[in-house]
Amino acid sequence: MKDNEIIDRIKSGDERSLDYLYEKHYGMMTKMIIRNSGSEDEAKDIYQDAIVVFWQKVASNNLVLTSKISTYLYSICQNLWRKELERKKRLSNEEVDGNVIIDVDKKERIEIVNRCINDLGDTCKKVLSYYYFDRLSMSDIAEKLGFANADTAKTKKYKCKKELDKMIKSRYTASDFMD
Amino acid sequence: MDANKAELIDAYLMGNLSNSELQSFENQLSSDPNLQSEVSLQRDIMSSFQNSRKEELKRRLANIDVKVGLSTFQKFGIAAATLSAGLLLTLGIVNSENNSVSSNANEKNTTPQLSKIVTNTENETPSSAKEVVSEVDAEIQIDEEVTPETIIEAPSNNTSVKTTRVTSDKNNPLTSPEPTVLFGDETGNIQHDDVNTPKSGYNKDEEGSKSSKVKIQTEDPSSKRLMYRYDGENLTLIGNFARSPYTLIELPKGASTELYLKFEGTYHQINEVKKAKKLEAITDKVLIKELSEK
Repeated sequence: MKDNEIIDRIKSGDERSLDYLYEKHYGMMTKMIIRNSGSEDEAKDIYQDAIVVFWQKVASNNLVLTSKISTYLYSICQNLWRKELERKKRLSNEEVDGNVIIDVDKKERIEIVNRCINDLGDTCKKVLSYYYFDRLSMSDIAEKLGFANADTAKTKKYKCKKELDKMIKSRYTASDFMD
Repeated sequence: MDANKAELIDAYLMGNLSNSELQSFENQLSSDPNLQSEVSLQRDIMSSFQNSRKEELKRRLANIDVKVGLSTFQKFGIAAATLSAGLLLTLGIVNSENNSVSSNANEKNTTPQLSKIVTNTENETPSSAKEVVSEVDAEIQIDEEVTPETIIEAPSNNTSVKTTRVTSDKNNPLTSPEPTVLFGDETGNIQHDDVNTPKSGYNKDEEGSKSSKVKIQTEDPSSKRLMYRYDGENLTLIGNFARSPYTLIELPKGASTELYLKFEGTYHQINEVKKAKKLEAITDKVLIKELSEK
């Protein structure tokens, strides 16, 4: 597969292109991390993150690729790994990280949101994930999920979102009362 | 919240507003606390979806270990793991591979293809029965030995290949007592050791035809859509089947045999069709289980 074909496939939500990409550069990327004092598991983990970051960037359409995909992936891996190394260093240097302020309200809200998403039907979950993360067009979502057409997907997305909003709001209010 | 407002917030968070719309929305936002909290909730919802989808994709990648090993071979130009013990076979399964695998491992577009054929009964293929048994032993041995990752880092004698179902070669087995794994450098240059050039793959291979009368050929490898044609004897796979190994499984059903294709983790039934038909994944869980045990 050529680079531009991979990009096109990612844009249309073809996850197999992701597998392909992952396999194709696995050796080079993981080796780089292992060479830079990473373990095998860390290397895998970082590389998987890098691939997903790449997918997200392509999907959100704000990626102007001026180099080969492999070069770009390599730099994502390097950055992620550098960050991880810094994080590890910080952890070993400071026992307590005083900078983290935990916003309890926010944390609770995120938990509610997550729980509600979990309670959504499978199709709803997929429609909204494809919309928010993969940024697929309604016609791509329709094709992926076997809907008749883009309009059906749009209606579905609208209904699912409405259902989710309703669920979140009712639970959020309920938990407010409990406080 | 009315629908328009919801749509507006959505467009705002997705970055779909034009400059002027953005300006006016942000003005509104700065003076409307209700809108602020709504936007912040919607942002949380969006990021929850994004995170869960990220995790999902990551899990998907984490699950393709086996193929990863394979690609590592390709990447480093490891030509053929000429393992006598190479074949991932279960009793009664004759395995062979496409000719493109080892000899052309440093060619970009060659991806190993693998076919697995289940013979109806073991007795029908007495000539291969012995072979099969030994291969089963071999498989167990291999699985216990090493993971593909080990190969990347530490080529050594006791290094073996878990992914031999793809890299092994049916046609030059039993010649070397020890697995021979070839390593190339990062540029993909193969360091040739002693590669036996593999013979032809399954479709042209006499081994394959012994156990099944199905002949496989591929067509239109650049096509995005995966389709097939099958006339009861000749199976034509149309599309980019070269990118992953595929497996053909014959499932005896009464007097006849049903044919299935496993490709990239999904099973597809192959029916006799004159016109090219799109591959459709099987969803029947019982059937999938049955096939996965083959």
